[in-house]
Amino acid sequence: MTAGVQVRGVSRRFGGKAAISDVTFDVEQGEVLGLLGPNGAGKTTTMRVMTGYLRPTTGRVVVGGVDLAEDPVAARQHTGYMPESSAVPTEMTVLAFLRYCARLRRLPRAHRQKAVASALRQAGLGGMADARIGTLSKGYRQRVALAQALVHEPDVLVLDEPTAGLDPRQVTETRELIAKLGRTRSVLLSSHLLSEVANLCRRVVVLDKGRVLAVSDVASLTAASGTRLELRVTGDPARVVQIVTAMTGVQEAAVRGDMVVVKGVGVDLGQRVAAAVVDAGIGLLEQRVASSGTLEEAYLNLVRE
Amino acid sequence: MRQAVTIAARDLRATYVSAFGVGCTAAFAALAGVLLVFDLRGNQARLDLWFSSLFIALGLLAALLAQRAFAEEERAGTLELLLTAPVRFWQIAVGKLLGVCGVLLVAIVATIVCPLLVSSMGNPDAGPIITGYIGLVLVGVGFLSLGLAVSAATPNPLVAAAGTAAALVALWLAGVLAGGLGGRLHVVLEYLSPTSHVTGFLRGTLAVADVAYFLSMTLVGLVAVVAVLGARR
Repeated sequence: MTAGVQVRGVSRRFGGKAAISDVTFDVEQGEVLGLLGPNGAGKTTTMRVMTGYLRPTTGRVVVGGVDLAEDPVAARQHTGYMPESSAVPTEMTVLAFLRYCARLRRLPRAHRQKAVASALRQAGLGGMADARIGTLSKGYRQRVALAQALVHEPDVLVLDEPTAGLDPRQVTETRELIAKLGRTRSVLLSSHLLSEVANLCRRVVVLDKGRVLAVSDVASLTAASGTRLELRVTGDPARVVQIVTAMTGVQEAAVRGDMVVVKGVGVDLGQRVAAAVVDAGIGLLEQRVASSGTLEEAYLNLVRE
Repeated sequence: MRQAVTIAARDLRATYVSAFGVGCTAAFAALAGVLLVFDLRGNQARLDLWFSSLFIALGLLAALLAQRAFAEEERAGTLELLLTAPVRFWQIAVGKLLGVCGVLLVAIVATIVCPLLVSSMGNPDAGPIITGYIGLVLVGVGFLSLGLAVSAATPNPLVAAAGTAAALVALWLAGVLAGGLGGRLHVVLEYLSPTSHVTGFLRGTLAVADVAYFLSMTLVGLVAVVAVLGARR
């Protein structure tokens, strides 16, 4: 799959301090890539560099095949950006603002009306076209900010906390829209909601203190964070602890009441533990996954290191 | 250029949708009326003193209008959308200047009632009035252009307005200082000061040097805006 965006060795310094250092990742066409990190990790700085709002101190960004440093206007033409602030001019109506954005983004006159109508529909602003933005709730202003990112039908979408401040119904609708957009475009999404990233993104980039800690698919990241199994056996539980402790990927095994609790990593951990217990001639009454690795655990483990 | 006009149209509309635009225009027109009362020479249909005072008032107007162009927009959070759009910095600079110039022109046109009033009571010389208004436009555009450069350099609208006023005062001071100096320094400082370039407008003349001065000021301001926008990245 061709990369919609290539970020290569990007660093950005403010004075003597590096906000981001040597950040490298791709956003493929037809994927939603999650950008995770604690506050101050450099997520917004990374997005601002990708959209041309900030110039990288070192490194390069290529958007839709166009080097951002060589031709920033052409690169920005490929990009739809929804900043974290989602600030939109309050004195304009929704329709007037989107028309303004369409003109600013060089949409030909013949296509503007259709493009604006499409952006209104996709962002769920169907009945709001004539409303003054200043009279809208925060959630609807956020939708206007999303609509302006979509109006010129860009190949690449950079969305900084797109569901922050939305009510649950709006969050669901926005996530469905992002998932749909991600099928054909390159979408970079930052969010503090790990569940949202886990649901929408196949791959994530984890940032902390300006550095990339991991670029991985969500499944591998969560599998690496560990699984907790609870076993009930007919034989001696202590014997089970002895057997499983020696297995690769098992971090801890202990008897808890009438159960054996096993903690370990690996997508096939449950299968291997069950096979090992049965092979040892011990009757396995029940084995259940008490908790599988979550993105939250994986993320916290990464940023703690 | 089309995108510059798009930006200008949006800014002009935004200024007059709010009380700010109407207020600035009305205040400038009212000030012009008050100045007319004080600046009319006894029994003489002459407006040179009045235009002289208006040139100074333009400095205030420029400081107020320019601070909205970038600093106010940055404070509101909408500047990031403009700076990440596929628009070149010079288009943004020209668009912003055209937008504030639209307000300037409306404010200047609103003062026409003053010379019309004088014309109804006397027989003023039309030449200085025409060159006076051309001068107001040239001076205003030049001041606004400098103000935009200051506005682009700070996220604080108050600092932008104060900075613009300070820059214009500094230019005026150059003329004051020139009076006490001789030689080449006197020539340079006198040339830098806008005061020495408005005298011709008041007399009814449009000297190429004076027009070139204010056009150059406008160009310097625009170049400075582009440089500041590039540097802030």
